[in-house]
Amino acid sequence: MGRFRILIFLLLLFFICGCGKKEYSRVEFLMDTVVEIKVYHSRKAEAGEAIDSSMKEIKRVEQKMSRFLPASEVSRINKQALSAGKSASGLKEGWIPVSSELFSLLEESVRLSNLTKGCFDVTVCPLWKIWKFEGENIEVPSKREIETALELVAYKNMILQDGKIKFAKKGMGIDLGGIAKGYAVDAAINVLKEKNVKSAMVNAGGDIYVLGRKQGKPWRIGIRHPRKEGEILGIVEVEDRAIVTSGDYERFFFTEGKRYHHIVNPKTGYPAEECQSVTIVAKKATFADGLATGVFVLGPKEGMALIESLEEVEGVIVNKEGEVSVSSGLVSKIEYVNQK
Amino acid sequence: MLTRNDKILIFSLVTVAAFFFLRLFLISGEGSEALIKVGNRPIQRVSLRMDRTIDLEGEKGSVILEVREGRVRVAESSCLQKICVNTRWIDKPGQTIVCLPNKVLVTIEGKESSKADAVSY
Repeated sequence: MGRFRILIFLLLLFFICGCGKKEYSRVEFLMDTVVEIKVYHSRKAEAGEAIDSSMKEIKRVEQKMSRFLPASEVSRINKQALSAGKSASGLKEGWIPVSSELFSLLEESVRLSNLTKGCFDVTVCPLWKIWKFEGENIEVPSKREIETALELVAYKNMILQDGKIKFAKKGMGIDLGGIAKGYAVDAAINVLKEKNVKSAMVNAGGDIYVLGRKQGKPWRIGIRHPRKEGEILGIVEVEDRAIVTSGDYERFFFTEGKRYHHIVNPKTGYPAEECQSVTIVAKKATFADGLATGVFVLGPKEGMALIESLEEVEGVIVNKEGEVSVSSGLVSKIEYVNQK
Repeated sequence: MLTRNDKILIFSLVTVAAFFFLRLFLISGEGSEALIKVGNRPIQRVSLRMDRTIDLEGEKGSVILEVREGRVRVAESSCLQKICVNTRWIDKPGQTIVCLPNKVLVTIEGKESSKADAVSY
């Protein structure tokens, strides 16, 4: 009898001491950033396979959606749009066929554009081309260059119909930079779900989705302090949510004492200056990614009103003075670390 | 009063407890090793207990790491924005330095004790 008791006791002890799910993670350079996938699983082989498949999915999305890869579908569309007027292209009245996956993503972009009154806009391509934040340019484009580019930026001039796209003006193009990372995160999470993973995190350069809970507790996600490199403004506790931040600190250059960053207002052609950072918590990373950019451009007041008007969407906005505002549903869930 | 089995029980409990206590004690605290990756390949694992500089060949040019007093930093990099250099010293498990243009990643290994699981930026 006594031996049995010992045995049972020891077995219990081992169970308590962490024979459950272990953490498996991998980090890779993808989509022009660092992608981390973390999975909690009881079996190593299955966790590894799930991580492999979801990394592959992110690569697949990148190869389809990147404007910088000449073979991507987005590049193909932009190229065809340039030659759409010519009869040799064989396109009827400028309609360009789009894959169903990209078509849905473009429809989602239009929804986001409508919500943000055009502050999020995937037709910003001509503006990106003259600002060249991704290159080594440190020059502000001339007023004329900006005016010319602005004429080609308007999501309403991008017509989507029956799996095809058409641009009202020649020289227009699409750039999914404001939404593709979020989309890749969602796609990776879908793969993990298919592989029966219940607890995971996908983090593509700060665009995060957390699946389930982390060892029985909500995940704790920090929000970067927009002016203190390497420091956290606050922490939010989340589960089954996307959390995405747009900040003016990511890509920028100084010239003649002024700071120019990469979130360009599609209406003025210049970097938006009302916010330092915007964090969105939502059910999908695609939506959160586009909305964070849109709200950043919209500005703190109108932006927060928009967040409050949307169901199951929360947010944190740091305005240009560095003042923090938090949406009503998040007030009780945020823990400040470094507010000022 | 204590039977033989009771003694075995107490002994096993103490041993198991000591094991887990020791494990916890050994892996918490400051990180002692850093993993260096270039591209998506792990290049080397370096102890932070020995001061030195490490020259790396990144995708775009050279990156020089400096290890000193249990910490590591990017001392020099061929990249334009120098975000990696400006990250300065790291020493806690889970902390990272990234140089995107050169595709260099330095991570302090060990059990993460930081307050957040990840940071949105």
